[in-house]
This record gives sequence, C-alpha cells and structure tokens, in this order.
Amino acid sequence: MWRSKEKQSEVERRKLFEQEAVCHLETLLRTAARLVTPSTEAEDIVQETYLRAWKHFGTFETGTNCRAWLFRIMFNVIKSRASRKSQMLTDQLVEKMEEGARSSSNVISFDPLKTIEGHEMLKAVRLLKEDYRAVLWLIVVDEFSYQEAAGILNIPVGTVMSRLHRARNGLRKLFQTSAHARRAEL
Amino acid sequence: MYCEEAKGLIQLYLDGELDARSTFGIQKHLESCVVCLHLLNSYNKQDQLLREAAREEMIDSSRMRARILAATTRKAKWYQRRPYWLMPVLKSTAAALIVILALAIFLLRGNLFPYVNQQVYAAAASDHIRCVTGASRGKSIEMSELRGFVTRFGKMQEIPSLAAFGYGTPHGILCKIKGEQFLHLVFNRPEGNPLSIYIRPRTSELLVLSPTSLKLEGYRLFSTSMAGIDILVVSSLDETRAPAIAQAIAQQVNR
Repeated sequence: MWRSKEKQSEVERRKLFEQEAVCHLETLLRTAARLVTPSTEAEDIVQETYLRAWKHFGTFETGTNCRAWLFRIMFNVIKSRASRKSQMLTDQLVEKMEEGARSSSNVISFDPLKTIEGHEMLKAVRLLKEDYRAVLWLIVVDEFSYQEAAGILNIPVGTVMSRLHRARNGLRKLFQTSAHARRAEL
Repeated sequence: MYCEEAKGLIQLYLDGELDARSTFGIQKHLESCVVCLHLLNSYNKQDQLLREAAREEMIDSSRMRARILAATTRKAKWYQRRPYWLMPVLKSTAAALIVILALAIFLLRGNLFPYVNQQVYAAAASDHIRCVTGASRGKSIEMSELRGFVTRFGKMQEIPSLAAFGYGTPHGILCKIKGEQFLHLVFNRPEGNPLSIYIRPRTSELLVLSPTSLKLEGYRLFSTSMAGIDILVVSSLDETRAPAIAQAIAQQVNR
C-alpha cells in the first residue's frame, strides 16, 4: 500500500517539476549558449542543471522564484566546468578591444550608423569578458533584477552594477571603435 | 542634479533600480540635458537590440525536454523508493543496538573473553620464575615495611599467612606485570617449589574478574578478585590447593 502512495507522490512531484521548472528550459538554453565556450556545451550544461534541480527539488519552495533558482544552479554548473584556456583567450580579445585596436580580426567591422544586425550584436557580446557578459545577459535579456542576478552569480550587488556598467560601455566602445576605423578607411 | 551624478545613475534608471527620489531627480535632469538624454537613449537602443537578437534566435528545446523528462522518470534505486518512515526506524534500531552492545561489553568486560589477557598470566609466570631463581627485576621490600605495602595493595591488616598450607613467612617484592604494579609475595616451604602471590587493587581489567585457573609454562595459576583486590597465585603443578590458597588470602582482605 505504501508503494502505491509513494508512486502517487512521485507522479505529483514530477508534474510539479514540469510545471515549475521545465517551462524555463528555452531561457536557460539560450543563456547557456551565449555564455559558454564552446556553445555546443550548452545542452550538456542545461541537462546537468535540470538533473541537479530534480535531485534537489525537495528543497525548492513552491511559489518562490524558480527561474532564478535554476539560473543559480546553472551558473554553478558552468563554474565547475569552466575551461581556463577559453577564459584566457576571451580575456586577450577583450584587452585588445579595450586598447582600441584597429585590427579587423578582433573588432566587429560594421558601421554603427547602419542598422545593427542581430547576429552582429550577438557576436559583439561574445567578445566581452565572461563575467561582464554573464551580468549583461541576466539583466538585459533575462530581465533579472540586480538583486536576483547577484544571488544567481553569488556576487555582491555592487559587483553586478560595476560589471553591467563595464559591459554596456564595452559594447559602446566596440561599436565606436569600428565606426572610427571605417571613417579612417574612407 | 549635475551631469556627473546623472551619468552614474543612468543605467540604474534604465533598469528600474532607482528609488523614487533619485528617479524624480534624474527625470528632471534629462528634461534639460541633451547629452545625458542621448546617453540614455543609446544604452536603451543597445539593450533593445540585444534583447531582440537574443529572442529571435530559434531554440529547438524539444529534444532537450524529452531527455530531461526521461531522466526524471527513470526508476529510482531501491533506497530512493523507500517509504518515508523507514529511515527513522532504521536509525532508531541501529542506535538501540549500539547502546545494548556497549552495555553488554561494559557488564561482561571481564568475562567476555576470559583468556584475552593470557599474556598477563604468562608474564606473571615468567616473573615468578625470575624471582625464585634470584633474577627478579622488581624492588625488594624490607620486612619492616612489608605490612604497610600489604595494607596498601591488599587492604589487609596483617601480612597474609599460609602456614596452614605449610608455607613460611613471605618476602615482598614490588614488581611490574604488563605495566601494572603488583605486590609480589614469595612463600617458601621446606620441600621447595616456592609459591607466588600477586596482589594489587583492581584498577583495570588486567586480570579476569571471575576465578580463573590456568596452566602455563609448567606452572599452575589461579586468579580471583575480592572486594576490589586482584589476587593471582602462581605455583608449581603439584600444588593443587591454589584455589584454596587464593581463597585464604581473599578472606584476609578487609571489605
């Protein structure tokens, strides 16, 4: 008799998990694909995120922010799988960008006076330092508050603000540098 | 509000993170400052473009969804399917068993493994051999002091006598067996074959609590305990009265 009751509660738990957690799958996939290098790892990361979430679903309080909870798990997964080599490569690109390099291999060659294409914008975001990119994505695309983003990334709110500031300014500089390069060519 | 302050707050204003007072302040500033307004608009446009670009991306999550749902419906292992009450019951039972086991060991400690300290008896037999052959490692006690040692080690008023068994007055030695100090009384008789009595207050489980008889290395050993005093008799094999001798000594212990 206890087995049928156990089975029933298991079914209910799974149903609740689908309702509360699985509905955020696309958001998580999109964010993971943009933040992780290489982007093909995104699916593995999201799957591991959901497996961890399922395992600890008992600790989640229904009615609280499930999306933020899932993002927090996902960032922990990303952190634990982070590749140091790819981080160094990204940092080197950012340093060149911040120096105002004119090399077309490191700078998006489009004119900010023209309408920016979506894929160009996404490519520009890819050039940002991983920490800045994560904050920018969580705040602008996923529309988390500063407090929520701080909880997900396990950093102070002040750090969220400064990284976001630098991310936005970094993108602006990137577009401006390209515009100057283009004008010089003309 | 000046531009320098406004520029620091523009992004927070854009993200809706300012309090009402600061929001009002920056709105008033933007009404009259073209530069800051342009900065706000560029951030806003940049954000909108990013948001639209991100959401325009087609994400096929159907395969991923199927994988996740399959993973969560896999049969759990037996210990994951256990009823909720099982673990508390198992834990309580384990705790009770541990308490019972500890109690049993405490109560039966002397009798649980009667021969576990056979080495002690063998050591006593070896010490007896050394003493009777004049190779004792212990410290001899002066006769004038022996009574005091007998009182201290054996709670006896007088030096025990085994005259009824044909043994003379003993001489005393302080010796150590397995790290424990004993009062060693050596009794001689005209026929030879001295007898040793080892006495000490029972402060550890060195000797078995209950009366124990052994034959080791060609000697007979008998140990008993009375009123917190351990008594060990080491004699030759022909001395069959070792239990009685131990009993006679024990009767002289003050309770």
